Amino acid sequence: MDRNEYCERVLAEVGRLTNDETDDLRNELAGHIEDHAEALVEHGYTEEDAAARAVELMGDPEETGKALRDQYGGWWLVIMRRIAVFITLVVCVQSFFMLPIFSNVYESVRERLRPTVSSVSWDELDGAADLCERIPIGDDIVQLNRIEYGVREGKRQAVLWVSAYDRLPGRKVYERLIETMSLQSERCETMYGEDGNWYSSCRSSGGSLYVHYGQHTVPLEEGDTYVTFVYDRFGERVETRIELPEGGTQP
Amino acid sequence: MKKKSIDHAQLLLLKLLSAEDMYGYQIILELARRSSNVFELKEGTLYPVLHGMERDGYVEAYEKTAPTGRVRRYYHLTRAGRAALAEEEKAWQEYSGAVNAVLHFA
Repeated sequence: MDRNEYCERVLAEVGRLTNDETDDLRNELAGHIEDHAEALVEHGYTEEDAAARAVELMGDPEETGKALRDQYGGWWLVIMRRIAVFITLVVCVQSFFMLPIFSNVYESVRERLRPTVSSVSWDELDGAADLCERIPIGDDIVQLNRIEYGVREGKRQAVLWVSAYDRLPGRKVYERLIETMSLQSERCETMYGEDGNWYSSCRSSGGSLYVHYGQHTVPLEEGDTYVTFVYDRFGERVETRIELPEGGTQP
Repeated sequence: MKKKSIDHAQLLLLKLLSAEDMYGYQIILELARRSSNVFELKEGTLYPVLHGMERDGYVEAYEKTAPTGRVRRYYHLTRAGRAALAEEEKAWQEYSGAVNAVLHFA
């Protein structure tokens, strides 16, 4: 029996292994026999005798193979390992594709806790205040974040920062919800277009809207004490009166 | 002296590997050297013990290329292996102490 035959007889007894395990075990046994044969040559053996003696000293290949089989646990363990690897891969791939959803959930929750408010330049600021009011509209929530008023570019006006999101974090919000709402003065005046309103959004890579941010502006006159934020669509009308605060500074 | 087969192979291998990382043939040589060639071991039977210890987490295997270019599989004792060694050493001391007590009972 030569070295290769010894290794193959051991592997035949071990049974089903992965290709890597088979290669590792074969290399390990063959390397051991080679090491021992080299040592025997140094002690005066011929190469042929040394190779034969080194294999002989390894013992019975079937006995070694059976003992190794007990350590590896049989072919079913190999299949279970491969199933585990497959499931792990599937979970990893799925998690990768769910990352944007986690991001949208984060943005939605963050907006509830720390509302987004941009800054505007006032010639003269008469009042400012943070608001913590949430208005349910359908499955969505419109959140009033902050109001400021004063004189801006020579005109008296108030600016209201709002945001909208679904009741459940991570679900989509109605695309045009806060765009269809209007900020009105005591005389029901309002401003439309880029001069009056500005919008931003948190969208998924697929384009779905998860958080919508808005900034509404309305003209004021001296002595005005409140403004009204109005939703009036699909037969549902919601009016929220916002008192203009006295004093306050910009953040 | 008559050569004897090894009944506590795992304990002896754990002890050898606690000193340094070794590959299979090196373990056989070291075992023979330390026991003054008393222990007789069919060399192939070393590997089921080593692979069983690897499965149990007592040793970790890694490959290293020798200067001759041969790739050898070295075994390294893990923390769990050191704990098992301490436990088996203690059990062996108790066992050998009991045997000696019987042999030397006056």
